[in-house]
Amino acid sequence: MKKKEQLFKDLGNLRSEFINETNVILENTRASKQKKGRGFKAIAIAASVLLLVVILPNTTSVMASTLSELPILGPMFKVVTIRQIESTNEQSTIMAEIPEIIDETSKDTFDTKDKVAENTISENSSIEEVNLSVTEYTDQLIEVFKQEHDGDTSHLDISYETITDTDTWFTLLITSTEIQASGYESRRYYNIDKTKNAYITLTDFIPNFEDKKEKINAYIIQTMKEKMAEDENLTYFTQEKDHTGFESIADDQPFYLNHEGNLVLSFDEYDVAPGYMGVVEFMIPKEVYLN
Amino acid sequence: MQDKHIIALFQKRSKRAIPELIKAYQPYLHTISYHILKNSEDVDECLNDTYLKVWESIPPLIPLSLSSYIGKIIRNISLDRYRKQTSSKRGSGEFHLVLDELSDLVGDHYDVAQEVERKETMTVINNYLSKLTPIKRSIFILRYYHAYSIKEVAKKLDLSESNVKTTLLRERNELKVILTKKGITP
Repeated sequence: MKKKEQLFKDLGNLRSEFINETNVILENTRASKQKKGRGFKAIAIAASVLLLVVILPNTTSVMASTLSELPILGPMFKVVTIRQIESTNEQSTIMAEIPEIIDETSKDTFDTKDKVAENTISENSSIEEVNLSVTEYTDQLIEVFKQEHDGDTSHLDISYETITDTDTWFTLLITSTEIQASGYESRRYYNIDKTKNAYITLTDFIPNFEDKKEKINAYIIQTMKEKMAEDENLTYFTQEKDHTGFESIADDQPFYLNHEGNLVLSFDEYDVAPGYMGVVEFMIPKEVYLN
Repeated sequence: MQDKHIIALFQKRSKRAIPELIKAYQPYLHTISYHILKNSEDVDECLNDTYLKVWESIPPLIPLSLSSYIGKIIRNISLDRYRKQTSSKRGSGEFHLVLDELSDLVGDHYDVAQEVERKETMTVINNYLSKLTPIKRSIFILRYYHAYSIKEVAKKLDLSESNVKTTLLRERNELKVILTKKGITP
């Protein structure tokens, strides 16, 4: 053994309490950094509430008339688990929660406004479409997993999460994680434009998608390079580094709009970066994909 | 999942053991290995070897601290691989700096043969660290156990880079004085 490495190796025998303490400190520093961010938000909200209270007494009559003219809020969606699968055999396990979107709008608030209720009941095709796609996708995941991992030690986990729910937009995320020796995570997003009551794909969302593709690709490659230059721990497969680099986004590239309404493109593990980078996301500014 | 539950899964030979270990510790293990090897494929193989080693060793072994037990395994496996690499691949980068700083502490003669001396060195370092404040101790651990770069240590602990640099320099100097007194560093 080379002398140089010996002391580093021996330091593996440092007291475990030191190692654990460092892990705790790392976790605390991370948490307190996040908390700082949240603190600002809380103050901002408190300030705006305060503002309302101050203004209200003088503006009651104005408020009343404005309220009646306010546009009706977008439909209210609720996501519930319709199937829970927990199956284990000799080696492999599957744990899956399959969701379904339900339109809650017609239920209470709007029952006096017949028009709205009728609309949402008769035109919730976007929800049905998404629910159907989710079922197909998850069924397929489970089926493929069963076929491919017949007899080896592996684990499949499917879960869901509501990513965005505003007046105008709704995004549901399905995450599947396959773990064998190491994990593989894959994400699918289902987007509903509430204003159009439509299930939206990336090609629907970006007008003239074929023309915009190149611009978006260029933006992503540029972002990858910038991030790598900033932080040496980050690696993306840009074309210069290896020949199997990122070439282009797909027509059905997973995407969602975040709460601020920004477009975020998602790439599964190993797609555009080594496995340790996990699922990779890029936020695309409006000027890149709009005219 | 808590460490004791993960260990219990290994003892039961449960097929959930390795997935749960991965869930809880993959990023931690990956960071250490990646600092040493700087190559994702190598790291992936080291991770697999580590999981296998844990599977083979628990039971009979029941580690008191899971994170430092698996930390030690991934360090040794990654270091073995590092040593097997051609010298053209080695000899540069951040990890090389970490090794240089450490070898400067103990001098050239510190090697396999001197078992007693190595044990004593570890005792000295452990005692020295126990007298530091938690943050100063963490700076040392992140640099010389996890092989973080100065920049990363600063970022992770929310400190300035110069603060980290100075602290590490002081720690090395103080340790060197103690080790010299003990006759370990010539």
